[in-house]
Amino acid sequence: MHANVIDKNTHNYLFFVLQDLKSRLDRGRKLPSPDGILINGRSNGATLNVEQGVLAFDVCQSPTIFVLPKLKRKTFFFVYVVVIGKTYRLRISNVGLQDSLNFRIQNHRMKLVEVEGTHTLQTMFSSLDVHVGQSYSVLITADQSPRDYYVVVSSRFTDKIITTTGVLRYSGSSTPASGPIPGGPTIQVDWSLNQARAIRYLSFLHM
Amino acid sequence: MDRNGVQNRRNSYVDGMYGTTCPIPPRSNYTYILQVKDQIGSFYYFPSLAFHKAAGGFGGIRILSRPGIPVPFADPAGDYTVLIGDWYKFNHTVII
Repeated sequence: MHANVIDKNTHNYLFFVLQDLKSRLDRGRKLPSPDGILINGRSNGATLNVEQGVLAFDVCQSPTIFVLPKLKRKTFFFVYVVVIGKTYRLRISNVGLQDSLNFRIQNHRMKLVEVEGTHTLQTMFSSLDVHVGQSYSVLITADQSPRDYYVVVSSRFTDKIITTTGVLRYSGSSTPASGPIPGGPTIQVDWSLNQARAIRYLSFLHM
Repeated sequence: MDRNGVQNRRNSYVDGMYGTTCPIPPRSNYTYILQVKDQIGSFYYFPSLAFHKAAGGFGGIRILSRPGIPVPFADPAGDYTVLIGDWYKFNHTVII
């Protein structure tokens, strides 16, 4: 029996819809393009409004989340606060359903140190592809002039490239992030494969 | 509740996937007991059923080195979890 002929109010209806969805996905069909990308439950104002954001806010965990008082109604990006000269560890996980994502920070390079419980050869990257389910640790050093910088996440291998931004804020900064949002790879599969191949296990021979 | 990449040491029957672990009904609890070893680093957990993951049911896991056992880099000044992911406005029942 097809979902269309089932009474929409019954539990059976949901059952058939889910079976339908499952069989479509099992046949290799993709989910539609997502409506946005979230960084710790937050997005930039362009893709998210208050009501839509509420659900996802519960996943925010870091003690450093805050919303700029002046811009309370419009500012939903995620803010990381760093002190100049210090080095920070970011543990980046792609918790999405489908899209591979590229992660980068304006004017900052990242030193990859760990992938899912394995320490890696420490390599510098200016952007990092994170596929669904992957977790990477990078070290970033706050070695630029003290202001705000864009933290950018964009979709990979999609027809329509979706981008969202957060902010890396130097402690005491009152200068908002500015300049063009740094670009990254979009549909280049080779780029991603080469980067994946460049990530190597750190053996004692290297130490 | 599944954990990508975290080994299930001596508890393979609670891997958090439908078929080996029963779904946890609403308003009830289930406690996972994990023994973690040698996987010093970053992971995350998420529900494996009904697209709950898409609704934000996930969180980071940090497996720390024991005190005194060094990791191959200096202690960072801060440690942030960055959970990034695609996001849908649609309910999964109308998504296709």
